[in-house]
Amino acid sequence: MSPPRGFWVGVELPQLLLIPFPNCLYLPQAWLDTQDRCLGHYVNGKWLKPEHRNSVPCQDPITGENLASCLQAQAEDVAAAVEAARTAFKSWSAHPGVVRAQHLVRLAKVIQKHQRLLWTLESLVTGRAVREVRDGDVQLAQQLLHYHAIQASTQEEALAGWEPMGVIGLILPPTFSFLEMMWRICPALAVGCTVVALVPPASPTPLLLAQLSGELGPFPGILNVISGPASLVPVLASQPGIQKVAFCGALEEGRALRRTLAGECAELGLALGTESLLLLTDTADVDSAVEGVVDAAWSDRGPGGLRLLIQESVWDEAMRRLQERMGRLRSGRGLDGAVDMGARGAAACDLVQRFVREAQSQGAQVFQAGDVPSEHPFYPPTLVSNLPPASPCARAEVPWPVVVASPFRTAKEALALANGTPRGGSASVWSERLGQALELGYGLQVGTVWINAHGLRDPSVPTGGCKESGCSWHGGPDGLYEYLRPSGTPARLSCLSKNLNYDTFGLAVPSTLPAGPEIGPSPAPPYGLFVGGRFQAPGARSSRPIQDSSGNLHGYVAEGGAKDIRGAVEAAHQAFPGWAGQSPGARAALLWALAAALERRKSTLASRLERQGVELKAAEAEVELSARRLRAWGARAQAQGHTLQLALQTGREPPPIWRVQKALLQKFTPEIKDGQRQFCATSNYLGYFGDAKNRYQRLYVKFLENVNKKDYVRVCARKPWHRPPVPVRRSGQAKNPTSAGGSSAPPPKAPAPPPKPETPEKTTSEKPPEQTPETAMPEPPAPEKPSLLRPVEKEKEKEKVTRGERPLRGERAASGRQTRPERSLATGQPATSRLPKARPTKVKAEPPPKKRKKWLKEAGGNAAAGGGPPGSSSDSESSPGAPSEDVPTRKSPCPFCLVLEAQYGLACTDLSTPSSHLLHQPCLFMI
Amino acid sequence: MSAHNRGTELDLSWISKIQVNHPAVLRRAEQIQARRTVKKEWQAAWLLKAVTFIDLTTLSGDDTSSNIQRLCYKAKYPIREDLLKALNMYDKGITTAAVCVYPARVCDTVKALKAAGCNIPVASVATGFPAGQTHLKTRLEEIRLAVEDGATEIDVVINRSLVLTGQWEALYDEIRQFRKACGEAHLKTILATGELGSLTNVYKASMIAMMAGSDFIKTSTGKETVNATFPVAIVMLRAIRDFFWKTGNKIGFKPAGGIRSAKDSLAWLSLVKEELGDEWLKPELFRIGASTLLSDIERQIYHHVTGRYAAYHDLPMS
Repeated sequence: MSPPRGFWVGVELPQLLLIPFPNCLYLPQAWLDTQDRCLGHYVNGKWLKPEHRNSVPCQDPITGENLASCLQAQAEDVAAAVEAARTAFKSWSAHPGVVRAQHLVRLAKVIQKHQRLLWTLESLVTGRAVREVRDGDVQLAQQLLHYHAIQASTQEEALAGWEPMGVIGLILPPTFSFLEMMWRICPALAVGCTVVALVPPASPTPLLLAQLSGELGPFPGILNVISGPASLVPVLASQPGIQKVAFCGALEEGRALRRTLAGECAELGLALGTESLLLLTDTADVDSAVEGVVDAAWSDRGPGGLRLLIQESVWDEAMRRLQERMGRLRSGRGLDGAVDMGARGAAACDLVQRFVREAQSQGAQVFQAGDVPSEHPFYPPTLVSNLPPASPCARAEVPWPVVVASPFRTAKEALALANGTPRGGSASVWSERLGQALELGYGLQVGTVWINAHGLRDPSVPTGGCKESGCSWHGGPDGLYEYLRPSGTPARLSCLSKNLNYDTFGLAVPSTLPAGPEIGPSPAPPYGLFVGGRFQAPGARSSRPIQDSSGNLHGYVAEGGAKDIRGAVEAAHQAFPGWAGQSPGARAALLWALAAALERRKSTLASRLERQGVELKAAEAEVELSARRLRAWGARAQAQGHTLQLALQTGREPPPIWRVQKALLQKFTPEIKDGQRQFCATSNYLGYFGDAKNRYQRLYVKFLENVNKKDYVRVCARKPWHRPPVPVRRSGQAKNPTSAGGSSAPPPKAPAPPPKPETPEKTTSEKPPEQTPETAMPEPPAPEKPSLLRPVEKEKEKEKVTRGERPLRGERAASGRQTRPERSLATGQPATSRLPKARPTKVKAEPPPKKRKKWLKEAGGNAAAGGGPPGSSSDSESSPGAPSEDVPTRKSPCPFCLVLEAQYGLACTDLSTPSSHLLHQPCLFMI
Repeated sequence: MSAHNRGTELDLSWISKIQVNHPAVLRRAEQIQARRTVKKEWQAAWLLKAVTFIDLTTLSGDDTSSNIQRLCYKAKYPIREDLLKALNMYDKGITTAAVCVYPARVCDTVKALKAAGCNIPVASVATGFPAGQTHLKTRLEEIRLAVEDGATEIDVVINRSLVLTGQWEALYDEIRQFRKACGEAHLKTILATGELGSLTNVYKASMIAMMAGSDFIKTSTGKETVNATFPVAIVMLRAIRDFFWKTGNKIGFKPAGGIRSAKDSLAWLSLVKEELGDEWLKPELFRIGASTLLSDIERQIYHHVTGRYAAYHDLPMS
């Protein structure tokens, strides 16, 4: 028996020694052996290994050992993959959402079964710490699949009027390829798109994922992965049938791709750059903020470096703690179970070396510490301070694992510094004062903001970027819309003008001669370009003749140029703050006024369209549709401006729902009612709250729309979840397609119409197929089931109630709730005390915190056992005349409840009354 | 044992601005358990090290001299001899750090330890343990009597009501008096963190206890419903570090209550190593208060040596 290594009693304990390399290397190597150490592409459920292709070695980033060789794809391989995806799209998108949901859940289970292989392989080839991959990426991947499975299963109702785009081209970066891929393929597959992913060579994890998905059976072609160089990106993007390209990677590549794709038919979604930002104020818990810095930059969680802004009054303290903490970081081989940081290969190491050397030469102080191997690809955690603000390094993107710290004096200055960069990825604000944190959070021009945390990810919360960091959203409902388009929209066509030269476009003076007299309608249309609210003469002071459908001269329009475009963009920029600062109601009113104006000129507009070769009927329909869309979006602006959406997530415990409610009420109202706080959310915002007294843990807040500056937060129980009142399905009664937009009723107080531009052709035929319990997916249990399994007796009880008989207490609790009028959740008296009355008699009152867990479980169990209370859809079916707008239907449970059910096994017991529903999904703050 | 902490003047500015973010601390506590995994020989070494930090404790109403004697023997020989021999660690003098008993049992303990021929320190709880709800006079007297009987370490409980009502000066004065009553004995202050209400209070109470001259701060009595937890420990360790930075005094840390498995003990060691550094990983500055932990560690070492898991009857009782 060998003596224990590491220390002898009485001798100081030395540094933790490196663990002998664990034998988990075996698993990925065995998998690579099944491919004979030669990885091809995974297309249409099969490995594709074409002959005569170049191959690139896939290396261990730390030892440089050759793990396998990867074949580089060529154009015909790309074409084959796209063809497979197009074929698969036909059947995949035609299946009901429930079938897709089942498939995604099965994929999640397969990932669960092979997670060890996934995490060891990912850690082996990327060099990241295995702990991060194991506890972070792989778990998140499963959550993503489950979340999107739920979205898919409710797609027919929730996303009626939208259809999948088609084949999605996905371009992935070398690091984090697995997770970035999951963020994109989950929503795409859920809504019915199919995917062709192009991964850089030597990234086998996406290939493994594709294999796992392909071997699931009936839908082999939905996920195809090819590996190839960056030069294939334009090839993939311009394949016929690719409707959208989602790119994730470096800024320059994204820019080049944007230029290549200009005028092509494929849409482009970009997620660029890796840098993130941390704002440390003087009211923060500095030690915890230091942990946030570690999470952001000195671990393998985040992809990039960090810009750290520290308030001057805590600068010394924060720097001391940072340096102390850095000394305890440990770097080493990714598969070692006791490292904080791995290494990311030679290229990344060179990049950071260059950056630090340059920063030093520009006058910065560099501090490095930690237990780091001295070999080449390892780089110690680095803290750069005193970097002059004007130096090139201060403008450049910070690479991993570097933190660039700089001080600020006031919150205003912090915002100026933080926003003074072209990048706008993610940021976190550290402050124990909620008001200050929120104010800073709104002021930051970034896609994602965490408060008192960094780098938390949750499938139900959309994340994205703004400014140079891209323009696409992942996760949550917003992520779904990335891969959807309004039903009936024709597929995008390429409008590329081959002879267009970007460098001279719009600069040359056009040479147009009069081509004949104008025969347009009288009075003659005004001459000029409409910019900034008025007609302006174009810079070229020249005109261009336009022809009607039969080739005759129609009239002359102003000839615009590059300068005019610039002027127009500038005008739009200037108008933005004013428009964004308008209250949602005002914006809605303006859109409605515009719609009304369109309708007044309906005949004129239609006749003009007719002259351009459109049939009169189609022209009229087009004008009508335009007006209706304006109305729909106006109403949506109004509805969503009132919605503060919260998604709640905790660790293993069931979420403490009541606490959140109460805590938020207490938290928001005093902070905001004092009149100091003004909220103007110009971008989506999500945050993380927590304080010492309230035990709720992770709480994301998101403002969907700008909120009125002048009003205070108050609670409103009337609006259901952000979902518009989906017309309640009535048996044998077809929906009138024109009823939604035909009237000219004023918008305020009207229930929000569906968040979609409607198309008259589709609405009548968009009946989702009836879900039967047999086809409902087994896991996670869809909350629709109870209502579909609704027994007839409950119906009778229901009638009893409406007749006025008082049923027994238990019955009343189970069935009579929707007869209560909706109640507002008054600030002083949280509804927690009321709800138990409506619960089954077993539960008398809100239990004390200790028992709450059990009690919540019980509540879930009751619902599962009793089939739940009858949903409101039964209400409307039994009495079709009853007003039902405010009653959320069982058919459209809130996503929050679904997440509850999927992740914690809690059944949502009462979706039937607005007020009890409210308690489940704390979304209803009217601002 | 290191020199006593002399304490400092009460300076409320040290605690007035403190902020502790509860969820962030919880996250850190979650991470720390997964970040440092030790296996095989390294694990065995860490486990043996953990043994030397244990304050082997018995605090029950039915303690008599016979089970105290057994406990003292176990403290002297915490791991079965043949196991230590197999690890080649037999001659390193591995014992637990102390034996911790009620004041009335101090005499028995001192006698039993003398009979076993070792100088393991005897720790005694005092001051109305575990509630602390007796008169100050009797509490002070209790300390004096325990010290007279031969206890060299005194675990006192603080008056929680002073913390909950924010009477920091009164708390400071009380611990000051405990300090004086202890004389040469070491003072370990039990904060009973399960009953302090918030992590901010834990930080403040830790700071006050250290300013008043405690040599150790200890999480809990083991009799509360919530005992030693990682989030609380993180806050206390950060307070210890801040105190060290301010005064240069190293104060010890003792988690107690609910630490039962060998795996837990490793997490505690790595927590201290991460937050304070290796210099705190010695019995003068780190203790684990536990009664059943030792047998689990012994089982793990048994498994390491033999490849099999021991039944409890394979190992001597404590």
